[in-house]
Amino acid sequence: MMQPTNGQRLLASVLQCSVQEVPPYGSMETVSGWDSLAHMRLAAALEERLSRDLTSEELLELESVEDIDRLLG
Amino acid sequence: MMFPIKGTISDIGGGEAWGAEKLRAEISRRAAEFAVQGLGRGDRFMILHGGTPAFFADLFAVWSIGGVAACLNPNSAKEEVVRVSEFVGAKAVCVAGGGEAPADLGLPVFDGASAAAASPPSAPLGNLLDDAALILFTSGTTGEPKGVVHTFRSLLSRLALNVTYIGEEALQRTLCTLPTHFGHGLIGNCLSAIYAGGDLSLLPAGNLKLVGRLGEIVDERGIRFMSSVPSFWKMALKLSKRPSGGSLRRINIGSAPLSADLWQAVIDWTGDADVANMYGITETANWICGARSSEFEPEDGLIGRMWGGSIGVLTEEGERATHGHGELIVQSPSLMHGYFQRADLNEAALFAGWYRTGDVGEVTKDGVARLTGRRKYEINRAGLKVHPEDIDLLLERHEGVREACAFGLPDEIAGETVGVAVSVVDPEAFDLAELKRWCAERLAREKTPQRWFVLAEIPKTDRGKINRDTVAAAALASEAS
Repeated sequence: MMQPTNGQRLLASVLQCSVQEVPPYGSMETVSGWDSLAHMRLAAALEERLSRDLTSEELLELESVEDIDRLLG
Repeated sequence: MMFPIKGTISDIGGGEAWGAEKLRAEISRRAAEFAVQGLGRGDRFMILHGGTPAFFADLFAVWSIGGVAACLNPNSAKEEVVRVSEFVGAKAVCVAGGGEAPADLGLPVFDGASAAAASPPSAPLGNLLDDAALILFTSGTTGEPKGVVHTFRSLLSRLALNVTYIGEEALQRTLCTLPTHFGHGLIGNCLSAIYAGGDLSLLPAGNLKLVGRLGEIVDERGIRFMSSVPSFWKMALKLSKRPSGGSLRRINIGSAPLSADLWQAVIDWTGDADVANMYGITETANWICGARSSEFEPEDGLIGRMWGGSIGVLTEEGERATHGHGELIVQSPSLMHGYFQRADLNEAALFAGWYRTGDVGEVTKDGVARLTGRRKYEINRAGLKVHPEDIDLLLERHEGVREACAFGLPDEIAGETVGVAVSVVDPEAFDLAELKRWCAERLAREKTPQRWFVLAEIPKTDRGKINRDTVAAAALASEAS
């Protein structure tokens, strides 16, 4: 079984759900609970993890678990 | 028709814009269709869509034949729609163009797309000022519904006061960022602008890309007035550049507590607009009190003076006072007619002719009000009120749940999120993921709990009652242990 990615883990913690509920190729369209409010919580969690502010462009381009993984490097 | 239709209504997300002529024609065509179906004065229509010019065409068409509009959250689960339809005795359903009713309700369904060439009714039945006009649901769509009924008189009173306090000039170009089934969005933002004869632009709620363009949208459309909730501004300040055109005159913020810091940040973002912290309740047709930055320094809890009507407090001794500390009570010409078929609630809501808000605060001798407490247990998720009892009742219908208790949890963005603790019948067989799916099928997305806790027992007071704050603390402690 594949290990969950960092993006899956972070999004699951933001959405307060299990990692199994966040597929590695999930997106805002498909992951339950990932709405605009959750997106802003995700932004705060990412900024804390990266120790920097995200730009509005980065935030608006963040649409999938893969995007989160990419940002986390 | 009690509303002057003079401006254009635009849906920024869908790209559709209807001018006054088109809107009037659509209202007439839809009204004629309703009349052909034998629908008329006093008939209740469920409107299951929103955020478009077509929504307003349906709403005004219903009103033009003397009907009553029950506006529901378009994201309502099928079960909620069925329950509300039965409760209000709906005679027809209006859905989005090309849409379908979410459930077979055995009612005529209008999608506005019918090519019926019927002419307007030759002798429209019209409506009387004290006829019911609008039903908005504040809770109970999963249990016993609680529908706030407004008459044309209460709505028109509020709109006339809004135009007076906001100003007709500012209302000539309005942006609505809120859902249209929500009193704040529908009455405060949209109907006030239409009543003032202005143009209305509708921004789909929760669309981050468009929120990211807020400053540009304000400039492109020359927006002068807008209203929203604090969580919207937390997003907008993060995502959008400031407008540079200087068009914004007035901004109202309401439906959830606004911190002094956020209030100031919005003032700074807008440049020189007058930014008001507003207080309103669905039962009073939205805003009744406001504190404008041109008159007051931002301050936590400050809600200012009444926008028409009177405010007082009900003291701990049960006395009515014009100032002091206690439960806020109000008199307003825009007070609802009552709760739909809930005489029990009407009685409890009034005290010697004053409406009991359920909110705790203080009123100064010169009528300036501040909120210091809140309606007990009501969860305020980004301005949308969630009644935890509804969630308890729903979950306790699931065969695996012995007892459920919902509560609010602090959230940096939304203000509060919904948490729920459940005790289960058989811990070995219990499947939380299955319960979440079951719940999501029956509850509007906005009300669905974000945090779930499985407890061996739901803690009770020594009198055997549930204290939601205690349950929330126990739930969080269980997670930490």
